[in-house]
Amino acid sequence: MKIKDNPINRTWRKMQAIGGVLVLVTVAVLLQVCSAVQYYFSRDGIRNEVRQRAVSEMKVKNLEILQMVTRVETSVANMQWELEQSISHPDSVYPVLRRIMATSPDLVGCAIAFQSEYYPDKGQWYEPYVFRSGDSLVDKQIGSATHNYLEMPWYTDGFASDQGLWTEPYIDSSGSEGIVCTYTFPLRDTSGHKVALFGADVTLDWLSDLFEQKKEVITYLFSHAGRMIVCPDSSMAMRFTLDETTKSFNDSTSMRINRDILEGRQGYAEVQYHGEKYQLFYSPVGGNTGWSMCLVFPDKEIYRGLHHVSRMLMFTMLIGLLFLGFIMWRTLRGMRKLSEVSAEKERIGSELKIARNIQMGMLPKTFPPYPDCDEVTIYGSLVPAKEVGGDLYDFNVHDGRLLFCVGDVSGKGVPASLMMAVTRSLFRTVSYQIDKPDEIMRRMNDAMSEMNENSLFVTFFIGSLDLKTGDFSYSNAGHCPPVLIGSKLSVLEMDANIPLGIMSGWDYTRQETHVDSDTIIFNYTDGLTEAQNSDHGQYGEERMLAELGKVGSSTPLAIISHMSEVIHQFEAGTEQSDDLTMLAIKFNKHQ
Amino acid sequence: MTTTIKEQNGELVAFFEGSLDTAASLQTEKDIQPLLTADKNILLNCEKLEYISSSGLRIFLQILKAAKPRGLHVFVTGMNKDILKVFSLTGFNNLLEFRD
Repeated sequence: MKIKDNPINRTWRKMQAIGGVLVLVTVAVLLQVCSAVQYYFSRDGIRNEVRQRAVSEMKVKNLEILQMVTRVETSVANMQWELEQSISHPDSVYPVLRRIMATSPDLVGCAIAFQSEYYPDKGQWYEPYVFRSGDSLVDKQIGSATHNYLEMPWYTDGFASDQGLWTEPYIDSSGSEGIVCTYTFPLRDTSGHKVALFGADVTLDWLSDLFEQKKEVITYLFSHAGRMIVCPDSSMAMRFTLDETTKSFNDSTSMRINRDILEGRQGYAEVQYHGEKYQLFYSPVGGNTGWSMCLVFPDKEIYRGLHHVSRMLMFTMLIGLLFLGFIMWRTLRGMRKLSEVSAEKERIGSELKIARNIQMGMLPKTFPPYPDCDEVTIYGSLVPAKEVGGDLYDFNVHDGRLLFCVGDVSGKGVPASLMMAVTRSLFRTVSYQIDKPDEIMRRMNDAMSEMNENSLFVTFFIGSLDLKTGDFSYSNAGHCPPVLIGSKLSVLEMDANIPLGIMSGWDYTRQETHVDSDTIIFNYTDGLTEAQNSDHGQYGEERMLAELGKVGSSTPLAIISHMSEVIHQFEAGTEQSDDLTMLAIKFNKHQ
Repeated sequence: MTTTIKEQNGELVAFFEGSLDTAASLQTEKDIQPLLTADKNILLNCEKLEYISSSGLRIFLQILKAAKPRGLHVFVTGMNKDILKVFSLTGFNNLLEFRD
């Protein structure tokens, strides 16, 4: 079964992916909501700030204009008596006008326009005029048929009024081409009849400095008649009116704005113009000029900073989300791999457990194996370092002989365990037919050498004990020599024969000795002598022999239990490095 | 455990240094791969080899098995007493050619 194609696994992965996407979407929505709230409140704050700024700017501008207006009005009002005295004679007018010019630097010129034929010798039009030319003052009579002031509105309106009036601003045709506005009031003769109109000309050029145009705020100043005195495009000043400007707003509010401004009301409006939104603030200018100012803030400029921050925020969030997504993807992938790996591990683990059970089942494990047989007591133990091992032992009794073996496959783990199974089966098969240890060796070696592709080999010891006499014949294929534990300790003499599985045709030798009664034949694998402690020191043969000497010839079970305990203590804190096998056989000769 | 392979006097010489136990044998098995395809006689220098387990013996056997069909010789030199004992116990001294 392949883990990857498991449908449950696939569903699980799909759920993980959906979960990941959900988390991402949730985070994205949360961030979006946060930034929307932040945007809304910031926008509100900015709008309030703009409103305050508009109010305060309009206040400042209004004050400036008011100052100028008052200055002019008071300075000429102070001269009214002198003016009315001077008109008794046509020639005494100029000195008074010159004095007014000298005391009022705001004025560009001033004049007195007399009623038709007031001075009979001056004719129908008489308008003495004093104006600045560089640093000096120039006198000039400007009334004529071509400059028929008697029919001009400023004259007729001014004359009709009983108090001072500001005329509509106009473009000065006499020279400067600047915008000029005239303050007028009627003059009376000594009998109290209105006989002339005094006019003081004030240039309005300075207003364009006051109404400085900026990107974030556009300013307008409208005359009483709705004419533009100040506007962003100075070439349009005085040429266009409020109506012409506001009619292009595709908005119903334009009518209201128009009316409000013309009627001198204060107000605020939001208008759309060419798809862009603008905040519009307007307020009348104080004094009796009848002017109105209007400040226009484009949304684009007002919220430029906010939009920039929002864009940055969006960008940062996007990067953050991407990063989060990446991390989640990595984590999920890691988890998936981990679960795949652990599932695979679990599978191998459970298979290894089964293999271990099979392997252990191949070893004799009922002790004592021959309860009816007094001549021999046997105990064996095999502890693999991994789940499965390469050690083995086996024995059988027939024809009054005990035939036993101990072996160790080079290497560990699954390959060694397979080789162990093969070896044990071969031993069982061959040892039922043949009882000479060297002959069994030869047969086994030839069979194993032929099929050994992986250069695995088996150190193997076969012993054959005559249960009546204690005659012991054995053959050794490179295995560690058994120890005889009797009245004293001795290590069996060994011929040098190569392990099984290396080279077919090897002529294994047989050796013979005699085993006394009450002697224990202690067989082991190098897992015992090469057991390692935490300092990588080996247990070694010397320590083993000393320990065996201490136990002496007790019972196989006692010896093996004791040695297991000793090795366990020696290995304390480390992992068992090799399979550990012991097989002890005690011979009790029948008396 | 380190394994170094050098060419000396027309032979491939493998220097083993350390303890060739089961844990080290996996790496050593990779290190000696060049010897398995050699076309020269092989000398296994064991002067600095401290210990050899049965897994280590298996590696020596692999070298030997690869060399034999090619008609090459495998020599060993510099073994300490303990290792010599393992070789004589397992009969491996019968398979390898010793050189002083």
